[in-house]
Amino acid sequence: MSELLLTLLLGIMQAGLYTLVGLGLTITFGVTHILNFAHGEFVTIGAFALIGFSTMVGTAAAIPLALLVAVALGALVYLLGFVFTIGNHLQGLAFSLGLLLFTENIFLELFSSIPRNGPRVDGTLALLGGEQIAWSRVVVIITTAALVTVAAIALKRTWVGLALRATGDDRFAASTLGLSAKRVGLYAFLVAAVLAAVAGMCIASVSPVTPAIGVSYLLTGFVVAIIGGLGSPEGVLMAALLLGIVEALTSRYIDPSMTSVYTYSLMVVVLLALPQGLFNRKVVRAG
Amino acid sequence: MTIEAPFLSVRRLSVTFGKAIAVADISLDVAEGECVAVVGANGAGKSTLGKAVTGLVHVSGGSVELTGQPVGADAARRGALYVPEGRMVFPQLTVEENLKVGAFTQRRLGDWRTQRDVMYDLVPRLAERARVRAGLLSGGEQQLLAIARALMARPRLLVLDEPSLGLSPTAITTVTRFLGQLRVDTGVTILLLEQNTAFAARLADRGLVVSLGRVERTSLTQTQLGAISVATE
Repeated sequence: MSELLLTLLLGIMQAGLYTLVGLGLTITFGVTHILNFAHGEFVTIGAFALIGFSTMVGTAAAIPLALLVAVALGALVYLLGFVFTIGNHLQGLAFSLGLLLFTENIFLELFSSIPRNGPRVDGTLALLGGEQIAWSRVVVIITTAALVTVAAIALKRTWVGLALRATGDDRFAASTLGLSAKRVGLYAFLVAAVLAAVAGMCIASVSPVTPAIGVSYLLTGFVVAIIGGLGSPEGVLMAALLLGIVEALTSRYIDPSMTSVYTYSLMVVVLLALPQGLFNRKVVRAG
Repeated sequence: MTIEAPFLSVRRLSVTFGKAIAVADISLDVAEGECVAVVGANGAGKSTLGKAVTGLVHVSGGSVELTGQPVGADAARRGALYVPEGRMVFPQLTVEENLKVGAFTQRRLGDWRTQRDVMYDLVPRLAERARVRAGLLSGGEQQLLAIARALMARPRLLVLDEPSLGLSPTAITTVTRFLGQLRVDTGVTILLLEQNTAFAARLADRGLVVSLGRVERTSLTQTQLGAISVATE
């Protein structure tokens, strides 16, 4: 019983991280129609900025500094690159692939591939029935859940959230009302960078990280964004929960080495049944 | 006596897309509070003219001025609003959220809910369906919503692109009545781009005919407008 609870909690933790990464992908795609292959690099940036700053100035100051770095770099790649590819999805794709290869190698050079640890919250929490869960994992679950809730409310209630949803729904109609695609695209990239960087910071505080986490979370991010129905934030959350929990259950009770076989089979099954994803109500038009 | 700049002044406007000329050398004036119809067949350049007037396409020659000031990409902020052909409401947003998007450029100038309530008074049907996704509305309701959404920006000039397109006769009557009432209530200036000349004649004070990107006839009266046909040749 307690073992099941622990497994479910670990699944939920993973699901929270996948949601943060997938949300950014789905929002930038919805608004700019760019599939950003370099998105996962913001996970790496968040993780290594936290590790780097926390040894210099302590964890409390490192968190806002790491977020600031992510926001600045998000604005930079958008204003110097992606903004020119709006309306041309092949160019956007090519640029993001180039950026991915470039940053991957830069980060390998800067941080090497030796796994590093971020700051940890010490101690464990006893679950009903005797199993123990590390406090750092509990903190990650709470952080991701809180951030996903805030993001959901902000998408519904704030002007920026409304701008993102309206532009995702109909870019031309939004532009007739003074919402320029370029400006809303910037909102999208900044929101995506922050969400991914927080995911990276969370990952660094529960497990050793290398610059390769970016790509591995990018792939899962794509999976949840696509299962959810590209452009749908609710879909990302549902797909991430499904994936995280299936992953945790199969690795605990069936075979840990086969986890990705189960999860990717699940994706194939969902997409065969619902080619548009779980939540997509309209046909996605690329371009 | 002072010479005032006309409310909307379009001078020798040209818009080209690559080698295709969509609008060639069009000039027109619209006085404040007036409703002028631009009629023409499909592909005559009406939509492009409307988009150029509201800063949505790049102008390759000539000028557009609103009360003497050139209009550019900031047209929506300055009160020149384009209501697109085919309505283009945000299908996954609710009716109320659609209206809120319309107030985006005004968000720092006051509470958007004030203007929303004005819209709900003007179109009670939208108030009843406030929480419904706009994609589920009927064609007529979507057209009213698209116009109301543009009105949320408190425009001085409204450019309506084929508001009658694809609507049932009943819905056309509703839209006509709504726009008539709107002119009485707010005195908003309207540039109406239409193919349906009978509909245009019911709303507009005067009209002009465009064909292949050029003005073919100017200063048509309401009666003349209703009598001609511009159906695709």
